[in-house]
Amino acid sequence: MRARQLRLVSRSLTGKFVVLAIMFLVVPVILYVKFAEVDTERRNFLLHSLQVEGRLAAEALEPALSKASGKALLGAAKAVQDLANDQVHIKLLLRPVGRGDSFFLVAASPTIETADLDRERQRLDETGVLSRLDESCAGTGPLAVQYAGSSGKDELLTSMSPLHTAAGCWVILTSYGLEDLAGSSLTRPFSEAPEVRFAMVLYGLIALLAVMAVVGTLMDLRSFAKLARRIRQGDYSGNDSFAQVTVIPELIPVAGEFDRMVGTLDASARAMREAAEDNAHAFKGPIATLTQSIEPLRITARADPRSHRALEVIEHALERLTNLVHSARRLDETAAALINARLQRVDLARLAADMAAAFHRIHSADGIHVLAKGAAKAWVAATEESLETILENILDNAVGFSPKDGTVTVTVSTDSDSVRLLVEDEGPGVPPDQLESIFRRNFSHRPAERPSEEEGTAHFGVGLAVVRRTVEMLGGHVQAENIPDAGLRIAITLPAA
Amino acid sequence: MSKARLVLVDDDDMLRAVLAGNLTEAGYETLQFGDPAEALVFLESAEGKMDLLILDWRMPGMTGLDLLKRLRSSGVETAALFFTSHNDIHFEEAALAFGAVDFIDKTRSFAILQKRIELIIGRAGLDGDASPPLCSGSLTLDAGSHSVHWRGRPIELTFGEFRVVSLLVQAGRDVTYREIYDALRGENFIAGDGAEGYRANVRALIKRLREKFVAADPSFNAIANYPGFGYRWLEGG
Repeated sequence: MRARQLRLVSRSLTGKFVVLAIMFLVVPVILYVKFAEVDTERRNFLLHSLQVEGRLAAEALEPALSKASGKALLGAAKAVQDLANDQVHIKLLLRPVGRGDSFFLVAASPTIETADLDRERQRLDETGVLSRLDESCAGTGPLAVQYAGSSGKDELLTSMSPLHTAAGCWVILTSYGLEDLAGSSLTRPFSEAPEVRFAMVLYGLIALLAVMAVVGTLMDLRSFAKLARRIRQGDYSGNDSFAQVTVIPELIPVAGEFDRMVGTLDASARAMREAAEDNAHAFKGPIATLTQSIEPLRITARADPRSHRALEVIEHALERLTNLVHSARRLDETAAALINARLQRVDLARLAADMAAAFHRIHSADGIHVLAKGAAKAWVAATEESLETILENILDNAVGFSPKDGTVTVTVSTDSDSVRLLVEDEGPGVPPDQLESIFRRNFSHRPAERPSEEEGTAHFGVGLAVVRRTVEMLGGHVQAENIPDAGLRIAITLPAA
Repeated sequence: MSKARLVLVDDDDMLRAVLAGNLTEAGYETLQFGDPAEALVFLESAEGKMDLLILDWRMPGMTGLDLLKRLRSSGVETAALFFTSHNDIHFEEAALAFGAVDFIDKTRSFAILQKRIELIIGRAGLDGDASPPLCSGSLTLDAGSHSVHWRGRPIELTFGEFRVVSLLVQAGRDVTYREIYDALRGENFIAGDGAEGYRANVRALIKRLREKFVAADPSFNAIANYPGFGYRWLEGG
């Protein structure tokens, strides 16, 4: 049972969908965390290498700056130009000895217009980087400070290398334009990178498609189930079709097969009705002729006791024949009617109690008691008429077999998905090898000691056949068993509504 | 009083012969036709009044209903009853809708048929001499003209059905299956239907009744069911 449940869950579309949804949510988180780690490492590495580059630049400039002459300044400016390239921007600042803590921008690459020099210096000052340098012109650390550069473009300061000479405190700043690759990859979160954006959009699309496929399929299956239920309950018009409720083209052939199946079912219901009518019609012709032919005989046979008796026998046989034709027709008609009957929620418990009371009222005079017990409510999908037919035939049968002062007990019980009806009598029961046969059409097992019935009517054994057919048409099943030393129990199980 | 004149149309030669014999024996003047076309020609040009047509349904060339329609369209208004092996409600409804007054199953005994013939022929003579119609809520029952109206709309009922509706309406209480069955005995029903149940018979009749009323008024629900017991007409006074 458990294995079966597991198998069902593993095959369930909804189950797979839930797993898929969880994966779609979890995978980006894992990827993000992993990528973020790698990105931090990469940035640190890049920053480090940029700082090394800056330091190298500072060291390269050191000999020129140490000379501290006017010519040296020019040399330094040229060296700055040489060191810089398209990506690396270098700025050389000086805090001369004895001039407080203000810096002068001595040289820059790319070159800054003289008019802008002071503003550039101010902006650098505003970043607060320069104030990190103490009196001794020492102290630095990894930098990743953004500021608005002279050209109006944002730059990222990546290293600051101080150099103490006789002239004062020199500072070599390296920076990268944010629009350049190195700069952008340092400042921008990796999630904003175009290729990552593209991957995210693709991922989103895949997720959307997967969700649409699963949801579409589930919705189609739901509309299938809804229509199938409506068809089963007879609540549909000829225009409803599975093909119409299908949205997914691949399911249309399946829907078509369902439609053909429903069509076949309807056709067979029709054919059953027609056959029932045709059969009855064919039999009734000769019966009618016989019935009318008896009429003149009735007059002539009056005088002769033997003829009179023979006529009575013929009449009786004819009546039985007529009854057979009628009940056979009714059986077929009931079955056909149930194929596309409109099913409703009917309370079997209440119906059983009502009918038990009615049967009790009718039969208590014969000393036969009919009692109902069990659940107070038991909803099944059926028609009141079909349930009444079922109960009536079983009760007729049970009462028919009951000894005087016997009790027929009707018990209704429910569980999660079914409703059970037990009818127990205190009669003689049925030989075990015939338990199945009592539901066969025209099988009769009426004990000799209680020959049927007051009015000389005959029992044709159609009753329990009607019960089985009706129960099966409602999606249930019926079985009979002997109660040890007690009687017969008919047990009916119907799906709960 | 002169003999009532009946016209029997049935293609079953054996049945027609015995039935015509029985009818003649019972004192009716009986004309018989095996071919509906012949019957049509005869009736359209017949001199003198016919009292009742007894029609089979399924016949070669023309159904009993076709025959009735053509007679009505050429102005022949003779009362007609169907005596047929069909008992699907659609046949009955069609027959009554086109002016048949009764629809009797062919397996019924001659005594039943005779009683119904007398009722029809006798009623024709009683026209204008009827008791006042019985009104109950939206229902009007006129035993004299044998007509039933629900919310002003006519409902075509057979004799048996008329009798059951009268019983239910006049009882004003729960009526048992047995009572309804007894009211029908000798009518369109099989006597002693065996253990398969007179209730099934009564239920089939009530189902037909409901269908007929619902066809005229989809909201009709005046016949309430007491499972295992019987029925009750709900709309009083």
